[in-house]
Amino acid sequence: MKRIYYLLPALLSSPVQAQPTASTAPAPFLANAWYIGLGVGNGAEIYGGYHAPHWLAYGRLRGKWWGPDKEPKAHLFGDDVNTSSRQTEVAALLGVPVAAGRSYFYAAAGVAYVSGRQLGEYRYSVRKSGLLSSDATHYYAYRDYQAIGLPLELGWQSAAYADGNARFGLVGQVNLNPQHSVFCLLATVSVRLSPLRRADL
Amino acid sequence: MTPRFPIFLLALSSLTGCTLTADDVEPALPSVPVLQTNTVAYQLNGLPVVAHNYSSLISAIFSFGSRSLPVDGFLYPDSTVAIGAVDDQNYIGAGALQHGLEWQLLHFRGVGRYAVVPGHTVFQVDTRDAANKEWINGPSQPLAAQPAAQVVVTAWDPATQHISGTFTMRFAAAGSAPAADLQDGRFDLKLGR
Repeated sequence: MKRIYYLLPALLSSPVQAQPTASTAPAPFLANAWYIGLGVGNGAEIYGGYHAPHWLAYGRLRGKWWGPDKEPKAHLFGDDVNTSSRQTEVAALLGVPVAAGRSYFYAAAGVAYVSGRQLGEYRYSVRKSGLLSSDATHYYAYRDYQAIGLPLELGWQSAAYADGNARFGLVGQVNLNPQHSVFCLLATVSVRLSPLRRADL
Repeated sequence: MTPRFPIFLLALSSLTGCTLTADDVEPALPSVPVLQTNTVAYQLNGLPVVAHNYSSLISAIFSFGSRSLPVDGFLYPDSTVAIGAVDDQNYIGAGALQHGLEWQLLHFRGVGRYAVVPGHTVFQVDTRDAANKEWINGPSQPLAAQPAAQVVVTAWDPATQHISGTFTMRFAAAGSAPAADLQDGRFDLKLGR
């Protein structure tokens, strides 16, 4: 019976099991392993999947929020808007890694469900009376949508740290869909959960 | 990258790229009064217009006390009520619109249904010029003959001169200005004398 150790707390507190490797064959730059990670940039994501020496498969949940393209906009100490543009993406992707020393690049594509809101035309403002200023809430029309999109991702993952358990990375993500295509650039950190044990394969 | 990857991409793109749902949503009209100030709000040809009063020390200084209130109303000794509203709190940029609405009620007696006075009930839309320097005044649009405008005063306090109610009006096209259908109108203000 195949067994996979995937409980993060237990794994992080226990030593990683060494993989037996044949003495004549070079170790693959990317071992079989489950992993999870976080990404932050002009959006935020959590992701997790499985990577093997020649392919990777993963899923992600990503959110992105942004304001109107032009004035009137929200300001840190002042005006606000009734709602933001936003998009939440749930995606499943398959990718191909390419070694670059101890780090690697990868390209991936898949299928995604997106749910979002896109601001449209400005309509009106409600303005508060104030001592020095009259801050306003600007109201926009918007479109609520759900769509199926094509997620594409190009990424770089650093050499492994922390006894081979953690990698840092940079990823560029695009979701192409008929409602609102989104581009994200994120810095990521991923944690290897556990390799498949050779005995289980 | 394996040669199969582009084929994989092509297959995916044929499977993706469809809209499941898409709903265009207009912001709702606020309940009146907005921020406890004189307020007039309505749907103009299906789009929301909100006029209400606001103030700041800066605007008071720069207007030297001459600034008229965006929403104001009066009860005259002959029992005529006049109400005017301009949505001048909106963001002003090139192409911005400003809506002015005035109406009069004769023989005001408090809560009840009223017809408005056609000659003193007008609507006007001004447009900010392309250089965002000045307003271009639109034509004054007269009340349309049909359907008849209706104003319903739902609350009236003679002691505080506080009046609130609802209205529907239609204004005829004038010049380049299209007909204006005002629906779901609501007002809440304190009248001056």
